[in-house]
Amino acid sequence: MPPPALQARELACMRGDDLIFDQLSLTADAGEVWQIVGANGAGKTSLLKIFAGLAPAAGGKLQWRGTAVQVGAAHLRQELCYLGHLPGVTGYLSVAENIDYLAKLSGCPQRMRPAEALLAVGLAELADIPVRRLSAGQRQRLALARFVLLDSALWIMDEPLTALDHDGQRMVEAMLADHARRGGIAIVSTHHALAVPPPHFRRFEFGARPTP
Amino acid sequence: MSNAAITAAGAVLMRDLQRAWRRRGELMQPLVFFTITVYLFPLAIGPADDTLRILLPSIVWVAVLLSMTLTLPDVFAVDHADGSLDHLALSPHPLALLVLMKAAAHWLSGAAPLLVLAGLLCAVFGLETYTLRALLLGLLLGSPVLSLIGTLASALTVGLRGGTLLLALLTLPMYIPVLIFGTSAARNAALGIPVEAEMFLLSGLSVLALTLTPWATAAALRARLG
Repeated sequence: MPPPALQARELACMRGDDLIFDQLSLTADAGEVWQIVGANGAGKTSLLKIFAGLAPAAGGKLQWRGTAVQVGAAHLRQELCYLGHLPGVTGYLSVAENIDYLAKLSGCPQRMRPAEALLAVGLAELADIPVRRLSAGQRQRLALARFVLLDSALWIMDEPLTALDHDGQRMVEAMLADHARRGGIAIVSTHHALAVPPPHFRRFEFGARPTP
Repeated sequence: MSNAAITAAGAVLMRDLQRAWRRRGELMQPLVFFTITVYLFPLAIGPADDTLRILLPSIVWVAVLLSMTLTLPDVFAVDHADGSLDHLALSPHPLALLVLMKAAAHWLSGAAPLLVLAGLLCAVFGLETYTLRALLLGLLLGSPVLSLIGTLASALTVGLRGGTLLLALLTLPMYIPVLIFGTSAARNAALGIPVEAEMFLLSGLSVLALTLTPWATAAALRARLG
């Protein structure tokens, strides 16, 4: 039997001298959408950064397809699409230039042409507009266009519903459901209720910290 | 190296150059700063005095050093502020190659216009051709080192408060070897002494920076983002 796609065992995270969380275990397999829920400061963003290989864990083991994930290791990044708490788009470039640049930077194969991805997130009309003239919600849609464009197995999204209107939120849910149907894995931190159909949907709650 | 890595490297270079071109108004500021700095010296020394002609190459070198630190926040700090630095670090392509492209973009948009301007200014001040050539060749060979070291320092200060001044404090001492050989070449040229030795040393520093700093920059960037 192949090892589970993403396996975290007893992860710990420190910020300065403070312990943010420890003993965190999570196993995500193909076709699963995980919603990460927790109070402010529980360490959701830190956890997602550890999963993405951006930050090292203070303890525990993290494996992607049976191989340990370390900061700077390439095997996870070839299959990863990541959205941090900032959209990560460049104000001085146009919408089309941004998506083109981000697609070339990523190692993932493209599922469609960039223009089609912009159409899917409702930005086709704005392709030639500089991003600095877009609203926060439109920038978020541009950041999400990468997930439609690129064929990546692991999606990591930190608060993807930020600044999105009602339609945009439905769009993210549809994207997640479609990703799960195609056998992808998504790890999403959000405070909003996510309407993703049950067979794929999992919920992970940061437990209360054990008191000594 | 794979084709995809080369495409990604080209995309990083093009994107930074495109961004620089779109905000060329802001990029004019270091050029104006450079011109004003150089022009302050004749006012302070007195234009009739021969001292100026002797000091001019050194003044230009110091002004180039100062002006080049002004554009360093564009290398990583701006990308960190809008979140696009994460995408650079998460690219599966070699990060050392990608940051080398960032340094190249910094040189092309921040240093190359300065070199042209330095040549024009020195011609206006009536610097002899031989000295002028030694000065410009020295700047051409030495300025890549400044961009590469500046890129490394930018990576070390990603996400720190007080970035711009800290960057200058960190980079200027590391610019000293380039400054010494560059000004020595121009001084020797003014005395009619051959300047090959300085040029070889500056080339050597360039090659050394080119081979070592991209790896250090990549490692520093990963450490700062973690």
